Amino acid sequence: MADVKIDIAAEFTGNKAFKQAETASQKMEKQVAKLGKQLLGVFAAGKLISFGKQAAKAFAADEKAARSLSLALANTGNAFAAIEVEKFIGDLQRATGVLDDQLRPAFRTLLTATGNVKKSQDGLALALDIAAGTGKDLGAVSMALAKAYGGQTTALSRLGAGLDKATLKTGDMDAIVGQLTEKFRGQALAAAEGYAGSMAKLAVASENAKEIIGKDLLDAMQMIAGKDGIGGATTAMEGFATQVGNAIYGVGVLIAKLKEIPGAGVVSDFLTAPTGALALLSMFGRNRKISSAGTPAQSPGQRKAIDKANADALRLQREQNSLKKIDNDNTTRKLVLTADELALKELEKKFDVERVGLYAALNQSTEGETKMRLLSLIAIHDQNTAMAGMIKKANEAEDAFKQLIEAIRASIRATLDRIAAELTQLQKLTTTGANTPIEQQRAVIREKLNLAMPDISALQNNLRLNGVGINTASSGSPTYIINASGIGDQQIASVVQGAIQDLNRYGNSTTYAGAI
Amino acid sequence: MPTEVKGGIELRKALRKFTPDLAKETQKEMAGLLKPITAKARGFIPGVAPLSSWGKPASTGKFPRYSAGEAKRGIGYKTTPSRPNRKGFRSLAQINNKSAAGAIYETAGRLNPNGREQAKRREVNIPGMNSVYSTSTGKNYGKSNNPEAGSLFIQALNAQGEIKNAYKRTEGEAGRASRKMKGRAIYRAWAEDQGKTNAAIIKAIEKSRDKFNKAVGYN
Repeated sequence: MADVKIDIAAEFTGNKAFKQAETASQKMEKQVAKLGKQLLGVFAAGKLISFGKQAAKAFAADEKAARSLSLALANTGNAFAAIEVEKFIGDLQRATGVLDDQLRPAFRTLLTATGNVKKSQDGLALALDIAAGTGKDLGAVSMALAKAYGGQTTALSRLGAGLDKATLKTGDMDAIVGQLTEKFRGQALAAAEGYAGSMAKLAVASENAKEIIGKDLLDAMQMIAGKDGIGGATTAMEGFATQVGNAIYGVGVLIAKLKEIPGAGVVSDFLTAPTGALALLSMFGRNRKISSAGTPAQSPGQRKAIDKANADALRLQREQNSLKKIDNDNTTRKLVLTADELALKELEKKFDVERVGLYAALNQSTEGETKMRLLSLIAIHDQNTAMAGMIKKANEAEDAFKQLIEAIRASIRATLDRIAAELTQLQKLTTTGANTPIEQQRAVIREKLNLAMPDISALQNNLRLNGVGINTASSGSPTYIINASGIGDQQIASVVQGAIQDLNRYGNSTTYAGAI
Repeated sequence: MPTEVKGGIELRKALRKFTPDLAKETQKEMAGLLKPITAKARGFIPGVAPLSSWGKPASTGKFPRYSAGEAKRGIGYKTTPSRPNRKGFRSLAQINNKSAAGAIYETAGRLNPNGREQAKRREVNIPGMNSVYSTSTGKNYGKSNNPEAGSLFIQALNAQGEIKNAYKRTEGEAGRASRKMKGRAIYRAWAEDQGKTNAAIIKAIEKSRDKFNKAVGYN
């Protein structure tokens, strides 16, 4: 049944289908974006895995060739020259742009044939020149030379080096080598100078880099794989490469994004600068390699000696630890005893009759001086230096205050004395010649002065007694300004009250008529 | 076609959340505006069945029996937002005619003013039997034995109350004209109201919006 209704004030809000479609499209958009990122990551990781595998293979092949050469040297009694030969091959590689992968087999071939390192080195150098001059393979040239050293010169004649048949027939290698050297001297170096040579050198550098990375990669994998070694870590290797790939990709994206942000170049520089974070990471890895690569192969005896030394060091450390523990225990016990001793002393103080008496007297005393004296006695009794210091400071403060009061009094006395002297002189001036008109006028003035001025000597005496200063004014009703520094508020109030009571008693009310 | 407002649903949500009293007040105001319409619509419901037999209990079939009380009670209003319809519209208030008999009285004849077309019949002569079969069993065709039944039913209803169209198509309005605003009870009442209640409800919503804005210190 159709709805029979009237819709009032309808509003379009979109229905569920719209929302579902919108949500689905948003989800799809997110999924596509995610997939894109994942694909990028997969491609980047795939490339890295491929490179990692190649690097590891290159290193493995290089190491195999090096081991083979090392063994050949050992077999020919030239093991002592292993390092020198490796250096020679490395230098030759860099100079000629020929990979050590080719140089090592060629050198091994020559070494096997000659049994002499010096001859093999010369032979390899010659073989390189011949190979560069004739365009033949280094392996073939070195093999031909090796055979020639063995008396078979046929292969050498087929190199197209233009050797005399007569010379070849003699089988004299010195003559043959001399002739070949004359013909092909500097060919290898000349070949390495040109564009092709540069490319070859670049290829050498690239291969070397690959081998170095491969070695580090295998070392790192060995570190990750732990006791299972490389053999058990092939799965972990791919996972590791994926993670490294993602991390490298992430760092690349980060740097690219940082470069896009204005003002973020500082952060980018922080990452990529020669002293930046990546450089520091590289340095950290290099240092770790150096520190971890320093463990040479050890014989069972050496291993046993190292184990024993480690065990001794461990035992010594344990003994030190136990001694430290005993020391700590003693310290703790001492602290506990000190606390107990202090508690005992506090208890003794509570029942010390003399001390109790002093405190009772302190509580009952009201005078400041007595209190200070009692506190001093308590401090002496308790041997309390802190309290003694406080008492000393309080006494010093009191003395200083007294000195200040005395100085103020002296100043006021000096002022009053000076005024009294001036008044006396004035009185002397007004008491001479009483019969003259001037003298009469002076008498009037003197009388007025006597009326106006208070008794200074009485005031001085009063001041000396009570330390109260008085100023006089010259008007008809004198104003007394009382400096009552030594009198408290209560005393002033008491005096005022007394005065008011006296006035009331004498009939001089201070309030108006009708006031309550 | 109802007047479209914007933000009414959000306003109602906000009213309920922040000013529940104002939400109730708004609903009451809208109810006060809708009550006269529903009362008027109930007045259009016939007190007795338009066809005498429609009000009697049917022995067979599913056709609902007419009851004036039930039909009148079925007419009401709603002041809470509806669920979205197929086109995504929600209404803030509704007037509805819920009872089956009331809905029939409301809408019968608005699609087919002369009743449904009679289903075609076919005679099948089977030896020994003389049967007549209907060629269609669909709901768009009348199947009564009386071919005029549909037309007579509509005429009887029209005698009680004419179908009125509450939807006034404005000039130049896009889209197809709807026939779904036609009826004899609520639609008739709404048509006769001539949009006054609608305007009052819109105004009430706007008033509550202003009150809400004032209450929350928006303006």
